[in-house]
Amino acid sequence: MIEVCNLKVTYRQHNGTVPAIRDVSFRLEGGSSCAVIGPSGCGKTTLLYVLAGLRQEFEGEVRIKGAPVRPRRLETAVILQDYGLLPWKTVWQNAVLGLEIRRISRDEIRSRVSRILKELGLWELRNLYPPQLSGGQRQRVAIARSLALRPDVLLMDEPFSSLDALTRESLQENLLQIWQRTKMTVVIVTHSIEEAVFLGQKIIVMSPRPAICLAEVTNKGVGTPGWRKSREFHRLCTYLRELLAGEDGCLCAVK
Amino acid sequence: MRREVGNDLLAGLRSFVSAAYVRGTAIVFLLAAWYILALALNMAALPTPLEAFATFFADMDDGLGYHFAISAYRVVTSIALSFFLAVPLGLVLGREPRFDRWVAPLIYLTYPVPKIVLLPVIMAIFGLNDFAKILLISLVVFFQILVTARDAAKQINRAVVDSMVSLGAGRWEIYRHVVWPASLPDIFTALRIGSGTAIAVLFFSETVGSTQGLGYYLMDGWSRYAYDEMFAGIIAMGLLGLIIYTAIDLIDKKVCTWKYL
Ligand SMILES: Nc1ncnc2c1ncn2[C@@H]1O[C@H](COP(=O)(O)OP(=O)(O)OP(=O)(O)O)[C@@H](O)[C@H]1O
Ligand SMILES: [Mg+2]
Repeated sequence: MIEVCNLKVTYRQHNGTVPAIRDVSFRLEGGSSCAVIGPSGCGKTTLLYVLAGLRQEFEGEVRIKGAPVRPRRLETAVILQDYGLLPWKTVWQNAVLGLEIRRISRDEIRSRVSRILKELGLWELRNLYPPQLSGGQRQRVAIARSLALRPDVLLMDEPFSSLDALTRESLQENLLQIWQRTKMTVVIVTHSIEEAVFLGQKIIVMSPRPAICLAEVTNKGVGTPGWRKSREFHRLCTYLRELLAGEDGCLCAVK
Repeated sequence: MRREVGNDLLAGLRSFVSAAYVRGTAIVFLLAAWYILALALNMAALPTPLEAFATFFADMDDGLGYHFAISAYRVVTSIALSFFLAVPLGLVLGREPRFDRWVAPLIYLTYPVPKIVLLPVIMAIFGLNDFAKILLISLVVFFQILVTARDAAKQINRAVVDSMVSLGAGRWEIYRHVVWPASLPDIFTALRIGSGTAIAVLFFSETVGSTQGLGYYLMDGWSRYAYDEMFAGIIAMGLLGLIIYTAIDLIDKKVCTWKYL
C-alpha cells in the first residue's frame, strides 16, 4: 500500500543545505497501522509531508497504492501538528470543508458529517468555534473532518501530544476503534512510546537528524483486549526506550 | 431552549444598555468640557455647545443637510472604491511573491508620499468635480488598505495553508477559506483608520474651489464670521465620522464573529 524506498530529504536554509532525512525505507500493507517515533527534530513531520504529497522535493521513491505520491491525492487524509482547524469556521463548517472542496452534494455532506459528529460526541458542539473547545474536542473535530473524506490513508502528526494523559488515552481508544472498523492505512507520528506501542502494528524508530531507520519493530498486540495493561506491552515500551536512548549500540543488533 | 434565548436577549440588552450608558457619559463629559471652555474664553470664535447645536438642527433642513449628504456620498464612495480595489490586489500580492517582487518597490516608494500634496495636481487635471475629490480620497485610503491586506496575507501560517492543500483545496479555495477570512480583521482595522483619514482628506478637498460639501459649509461660515455655522459644520463632520466608524464596527462584529468570542 505505502512503499518508501531510500527516501532522502534535504532542506535549503539560508546558510546552505540541511539534510533532514538521510535514508528511510519501509513498506506498509493496506489496512495496517504504523507509528513513527524518533527524537524531536529528526524529520518525522518531514516524512509525513512527503507521504501527504505536501513536499515534492525529495530523492528516492515513495508510492501509494503503486502510484508515485502526488499532491492533493483525494483519498489521503492528513491531520497536521497544530493547525488543523480554521478558527473562523465553526465545528460544523470545519468538518464539512473537505467535502465541500470535493463538491459532494449537500444532502450527502449533511448526512455523512452529522453521523460522524454524533459518533465522536461533537454534535452538540457543532455551532461553536475551535477556540471555544477543549484540546481533546478540537482534535476530535480534526479527526471527524478527516473521516468525512472516507480516506484509505490517514496521516497524523502528533495528533494527541498537547492533551492530558486521560484524554489522550481515550482518544487513542477512539482512533483504534475507527481504524479497526474502517480498515484505513494509518500512519501516526508521535513522541510517545506508549502511543506508538498502543497504536502501531509496525513501529518505525528514527535516528536523530539526518534520520535513518534505526529499527522497524513488528507489534502484533495492537487491538487485542487489555493490550495496554499486558506485560508484552510494557516489555516493548522498555525495549523502544532503550533503543531511543542509546541508538548507536542497538543499531546493529536490531538490523 | 426558550429560556436560553430569553437569557441571551436579556444579556444582549444589558450589554447594549451599559455600552450606551458609558457612551452617554463620555458625550456628556465632552459637552461639559466644551461648555466650560466656551464660557471661560468668552470669544465669538468659540460658541457654547447650545448655540452650535441650535444652529446645527436649524440648518439641517436648510443647506446643511444637503452638504452633509454630498460629503457622505463622496467619502463613502471613496472608501468602498478603495476597499474593492485594494483588498483583492493586496491579498494577491501577499500570497504571490513573484508579483510582489515587482510591485513591492513601487509601493515602498509611493506609500510614504503624503497623497494630499497631489490635491492641486488632481484638481488641475480633473477639475473641481466630484470625481477629482473621490479620486484623491480613494488614493489615500487605497494605499492604507493595500499595505495592510498584503501584510496580513503574507503572515498567514504555512501550516494552515498546507492543511487546506491536504484537504484537496486549490488556489481559489485557499483564498476563499483561508486568506480572505484570516486577513479580514486587519482589513477592518485599516478601514477604521482609513475612514478617519478619508474625512480629513475630504475636508481639504472641499475647501478648495468648492461650493458643496461640509468642508465648504464650514469654511464659508468661517469666512462670514458665522461661528455658530462653522461649529454646526464641525458637528456634522464629527457625526459623519461617527456614523461611518460605527457602521464599520458593526459590520466587523457581524462578519468576524470568531474574533469576538
Ligand atoms: N521548512 C524548513 N526549512 C528548513 N529546514 C527545515 C524545515 N522544516 C524542517 N526543517 C529542519 O528539518 C529537521 C526535521 O524537521 P521536522 O519538522 O521534520 O522534525 P520532527 O521530527 O517533526 O520534529 P518534532 O518532533 O519536534 O515535531 C529539523 O532539524 C528542522 O530544523
Ligand atoms: Mg514534527
